[in-house]
Amino acid sequence: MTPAEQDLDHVSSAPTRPGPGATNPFDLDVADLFRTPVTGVPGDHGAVPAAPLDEKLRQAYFWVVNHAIISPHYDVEFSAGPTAPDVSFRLGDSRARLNLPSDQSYSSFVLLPLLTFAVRGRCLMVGGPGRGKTASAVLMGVLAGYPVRDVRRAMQHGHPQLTVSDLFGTPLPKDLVQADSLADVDVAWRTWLGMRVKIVDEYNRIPTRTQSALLTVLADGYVEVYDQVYETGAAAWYLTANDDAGGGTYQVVDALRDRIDVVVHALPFNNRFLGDLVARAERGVRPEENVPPEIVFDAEEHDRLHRDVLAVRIPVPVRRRLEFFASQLEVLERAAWQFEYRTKDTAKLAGIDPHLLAAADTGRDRLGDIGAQTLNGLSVRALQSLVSYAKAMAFFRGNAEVDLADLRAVLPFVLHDKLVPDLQSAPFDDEEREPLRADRVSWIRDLFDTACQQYDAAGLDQDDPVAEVLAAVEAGLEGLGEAEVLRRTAQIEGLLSLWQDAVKLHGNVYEDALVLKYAHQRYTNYLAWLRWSGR
Amino acid sequence: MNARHPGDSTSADPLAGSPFAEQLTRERDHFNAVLARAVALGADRDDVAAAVRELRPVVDGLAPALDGEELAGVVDALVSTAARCVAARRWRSGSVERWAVLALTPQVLPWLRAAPAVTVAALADAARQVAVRGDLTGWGRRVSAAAEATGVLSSGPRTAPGATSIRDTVLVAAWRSGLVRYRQAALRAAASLPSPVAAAALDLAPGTDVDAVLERHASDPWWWPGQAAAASHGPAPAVSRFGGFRGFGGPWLTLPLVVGPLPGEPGLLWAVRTARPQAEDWTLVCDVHGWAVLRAAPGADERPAPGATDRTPPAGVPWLDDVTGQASTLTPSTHLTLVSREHSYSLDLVRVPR
Repeated sequence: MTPAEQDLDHVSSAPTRPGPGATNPFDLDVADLFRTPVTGVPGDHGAVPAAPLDEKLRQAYFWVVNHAIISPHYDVEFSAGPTAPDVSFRLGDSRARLNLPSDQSYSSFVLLPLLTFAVRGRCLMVGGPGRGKTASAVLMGVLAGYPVRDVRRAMQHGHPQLTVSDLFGTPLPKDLVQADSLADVDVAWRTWLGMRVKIVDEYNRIPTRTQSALLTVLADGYVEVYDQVYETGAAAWYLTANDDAGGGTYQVVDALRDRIDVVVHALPFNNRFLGDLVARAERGVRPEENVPPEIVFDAEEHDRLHRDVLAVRIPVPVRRRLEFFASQLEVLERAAWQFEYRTKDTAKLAGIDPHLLAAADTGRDRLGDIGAQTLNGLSVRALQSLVSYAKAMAFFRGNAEVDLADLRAVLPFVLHDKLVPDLQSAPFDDEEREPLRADRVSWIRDLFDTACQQYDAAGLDQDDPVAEVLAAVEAGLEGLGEAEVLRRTAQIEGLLSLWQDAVKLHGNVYEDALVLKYAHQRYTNYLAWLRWSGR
Repeated sequence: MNARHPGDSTSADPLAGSPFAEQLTRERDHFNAVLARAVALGADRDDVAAAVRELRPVVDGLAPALDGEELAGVVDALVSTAARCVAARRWRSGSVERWAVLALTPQVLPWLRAAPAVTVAALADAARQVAVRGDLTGWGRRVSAAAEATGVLSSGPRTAPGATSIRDTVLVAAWRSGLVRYRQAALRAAASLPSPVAAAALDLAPGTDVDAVLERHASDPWWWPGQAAAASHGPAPAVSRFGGFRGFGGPWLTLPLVVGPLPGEPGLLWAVRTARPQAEDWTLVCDVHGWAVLRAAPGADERPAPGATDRTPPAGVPWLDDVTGQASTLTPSTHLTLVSREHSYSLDLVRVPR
């Protein structure tokens, strides 16, 4: 560790991610001249100009990985592209691939909590005891500008006797005696509810009833006790659990699990860094008590950070690939007769194992069809989380719009608990893919990569007739003549007749067929109105 | 910190009568915390003590000119900065931060009075970058002159300099001392400074119309009043030399090839290429005060491709060699030709007045 790294006040110099998208490399600013490791931020008469928020977020990341959480992992990998390809090596009997990424890469265990901080999402940190889950969550609270003592006090520790009153507050005893109605009962709310960072430690030890109460705060941002409502406001949530599968003293309520945006594993300690632990203990300096002010986000900055993340655009080619991927997952051809009901959800609601119906369908390529590897599709909430975190990833990397690598990086962590693998399906029987039964991150990433390859092979960026039909509908029907409407309905019918005998009902075809039906219906209704109005 | 040895009761206290020592004693708890923090960050106790002792003559020399509050601020700024420098292993003999704190800060008294922490931090922070890429001695001289000019101003009806003004002045002096990458920021900053302060930081003669100089220079990076004397990159007044072999502190492992000028202010940006071990594009940024060579970022703006080269060396170069690449551009005042050659890792810029 270098002296600069030992100095807890040291914040990485900007730009932390130099490149074409960063500031003009030939044109440095006054802040660059005075941003050196020696003196830090002087205290009198004004401050060093603040860094842009994406830069500040990266500086926070590098401060955490350099000084606070010893996490020398780079599992969220980025490649600089064809001009600088990654270098890989195969190690061991299993030929385990070690990739040396050519672009700045990150540790998921630090990155995902930070992105959660930016989008004010809900992050579940899982892993064995003593791996830094709670410490990481506390750091996020300190980054929000709260004193360490307040963050620790505000942290809710799950235990089997935790009641709703313990969690949210109690009605004042005087009011309980004197009140004529519930509206007269004043509730002494717990202070943690109003904080911008909320931490629930070991949430899988909370009793089921209290979990249900927690769900309302987590999902809707308000608490109700004795008819009194407390609006908690937007906040970043950090929950920890020792058991990835949601086990513990109590089974975690499904609805609560579903509200979690992102799941991240605490990675094991690399014992080569034991020396750093020893040095830290000898110096007696606690990182969370020495967070430099330059990387602390006050309330206004936190709001602005979220707004800036939301302003990041998702270009059409990236969005289309996500649509294509998601469309593959829900369809289950033999789940129903009615076309719209041929989904895994229909089977599950009927209490039928989707795997049994999928296995009965012998006509499709089990290895190529990524939908055959899952027991469910994606919810709207999951897609919203994906979009939100992909934007945050792009923002963190200093990009004005999301690229495919940003989406690919966050996708496994967002879908970690949302996509249930069908472990009995054929692809998992392949010896080479056997580790994917345990490694859900790699499995989801593999699904996405396969979907993107299929998308490219189909040439949908260049030739997507359904997109043209949808664009024509979205442009509005006002002013269209009967002849044009008839031409368009004929075009839709022509497309469906082409597919009738030529394509398998893969997920994308299923959803495109429903889109064509939707467009056809819009034109049919419009045509009826047109004829009625005599125009 | 107590310098007296145990049992040495007869010798006089070396710190007696020292305003520095009195201030340390007065704020004993605060300074103990500052020094303990440096030790916690990995600094050696003896090194910290030695650094603090070195500050004594600096502060005692300044003390007669400072009131009590100013003295407290100066001592705090100097001790804090010195302690942090020791923790960062930057308080060795010959380190630029140490030089900035011990030698330069006594010369900027008007700034110390107004904003001691900002002043000491700005000088210590900027000194390293200037030492690496510019003329440290010249920068110190310009900073000192600018602070003196500030003192003259602030003794009149105008207010004391603020933190922004002090940083801007340090920045302007740094650009004038060779840090070309701060050019745009320095031009903006200089325009906001009082004219006498800007003139001192820019090494312009007293009474020079600073605004006119800056306006002309902004569009003509190779013009400067008395530029023959200001050109200091090469042995001949009309030739400036850039680059060099990496083993001797330059940027290149293989011979550079001049490709052509890049869009922007005339003569400021040039495309250069090296061939081995693989083709690599570079950008030379240079003006009359300094230069820098940077790798061209992949995917950056379109760059010119190497073309046919006139092998005739331009008049004025002090060598006989084969030219491998040359490119010319006109500024309002000068005809510039950048030349690469067969047996040198340096590039020469030949300037011929128009």
